[in-house]
Amino acid sequence: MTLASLNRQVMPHEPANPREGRALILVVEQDPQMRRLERFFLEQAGFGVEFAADGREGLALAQRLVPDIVVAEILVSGMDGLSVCRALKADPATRAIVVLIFSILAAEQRALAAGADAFLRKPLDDTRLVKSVEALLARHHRGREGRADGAP
Amino acid sequence: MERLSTGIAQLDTILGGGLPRQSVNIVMGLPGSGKTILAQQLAFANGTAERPALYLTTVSEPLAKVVTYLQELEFADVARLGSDVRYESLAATLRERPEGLTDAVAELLQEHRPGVIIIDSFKATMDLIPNPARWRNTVFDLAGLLTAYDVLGLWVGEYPHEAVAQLPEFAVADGILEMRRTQIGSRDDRFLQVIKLRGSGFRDGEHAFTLSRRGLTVFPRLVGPPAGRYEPAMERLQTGIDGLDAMIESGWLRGTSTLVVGPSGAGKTMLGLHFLRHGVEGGEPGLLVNFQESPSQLLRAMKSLRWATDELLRPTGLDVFYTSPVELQIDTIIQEVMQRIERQGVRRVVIDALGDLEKAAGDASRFSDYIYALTQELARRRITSLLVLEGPGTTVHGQIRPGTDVSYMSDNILLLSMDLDDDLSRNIRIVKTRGSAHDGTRHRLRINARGIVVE
Repeated sequence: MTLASLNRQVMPHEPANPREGRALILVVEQDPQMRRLERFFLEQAGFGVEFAADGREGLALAQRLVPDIVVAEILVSGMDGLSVCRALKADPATRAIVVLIFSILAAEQRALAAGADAFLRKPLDDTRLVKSVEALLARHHRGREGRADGAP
Repeated sequence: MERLSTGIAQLDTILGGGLPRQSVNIVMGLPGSGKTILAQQLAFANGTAERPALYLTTVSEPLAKVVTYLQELEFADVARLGSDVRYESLAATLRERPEGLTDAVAELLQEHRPGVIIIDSFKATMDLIPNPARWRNTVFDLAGLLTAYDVLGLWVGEYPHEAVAQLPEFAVADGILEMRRTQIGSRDDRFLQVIKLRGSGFRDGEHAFTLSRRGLTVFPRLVGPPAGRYEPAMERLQTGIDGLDAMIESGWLRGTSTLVVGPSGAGKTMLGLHFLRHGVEGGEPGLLVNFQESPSQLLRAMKSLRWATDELLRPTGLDVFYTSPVELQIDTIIQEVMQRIERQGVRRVVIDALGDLEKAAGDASRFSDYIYALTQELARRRITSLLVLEGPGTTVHGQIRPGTDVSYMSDNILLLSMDLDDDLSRNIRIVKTRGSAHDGTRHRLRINARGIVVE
């Protein structure tokens, strides 16, 4: 599924957070200017934002915080973003966390092959980033409701 | 790579389609070179209410001054200010804490979400941070910010050319555009040059431009054919002067260029007119590029020969481009020539005379470059040309004049001379032809009531 088709599924005024309280985003990113912009735009959109500066810290934080979504760059030190994604998706405790690979690299196929829910290429366009995160969370939420209702 | 238009069509051509959307660029040049106007054209060409162009002034010019002068420019629609194009001043921030530049820009970026961000003057910011290491860090942080966000950055500065090799901003920039202003004689010429454009081809060399209320008008430098030589077509055409055509097999090869050299009064211009008239009569539109005689003088000359001038000067016939070389740059002239050639489907061209183009070029090597590029371009288009070159004064044994040598660039050379013995006699000889056998002896050239006759 492409992001464009995901975006079409989201109504313009659908709440960003399907749960009570703010959805939590864990961003794995080491570039300080990128972190600054991600923090500003994601917080402005109503999300709670936590940061990890490298892959190992990102995986540990994800396991501890169990955020709603991990937004990860591939090029981070320690453990790359794709490895973080694979580790999260391999562990039943973290498998439900949505992963968005947000990278300077054109690596959509590699991201999806690693189990990521979506891929977005940098640079940061705040509208696209926020809409992508909202669409992924909305889809995730619908999926949960579906299971709760006993639907396939 | 997605690109943004600069708002100047010919500059976009030079840049290979515009500036890469996600890039940091420097526009450099001394005061008065036109940098700010270029930056403002970029701003108005790209700003939208959703993704505005954000124009940040620093400490070189008060914001009010920039906006006041902006209104004199036709492309600057004042109704778009504040929405599509937004001006902000960084002066207060920079005076208080120059190193706070990146933080200040980040805040403005978060507030306005621009598609284009311009800092003018960027160099004035550097002057506030005299410590090179601290300036380097500031540049690095700011470049990092602009690279992280989906924005085109443009830094404008009064940098001299030498700064490119010395200052850190030029190392981080993806694109560098230099604007220059030079005095050639009494004329004020402006040129721009792409010094660097990462990940993209561009047209190198200096491109002339002019400034007006419409902004920049750029004249891309002619470039020679990309590779290989263009062989002239093996098709013969005639000049319409029987005796001359007989001297070179059965005529000239199509697509060749011929230099016509001789002193004033030897018949060069008239020879060119014969060549053009013969083409028009055979259905080949012609172009006379003329710096010497005004259209009315020319008309009088042709009428005195009883040529059918109405027929000759009809829209698909002979086009006359008369201009004064004193007022124009060579780039402007050559661009106009190429436009007329395309518009009229021109097959024969006469340029009368090269010496005037040389004056318009300013210096010799520039002139040679242009003539080379022009003759190559004409050959590529299979257009046959005569280039008139004024030789030295009256001479018995005409020599190709010293000075800028363009003779090697032409396929053929015709030498006209005059003898001032008891009677005035005119002569013509072929001293060079490419791809044709020719009669190299001297022939008598007469000018009678109907034009030129070669015996």
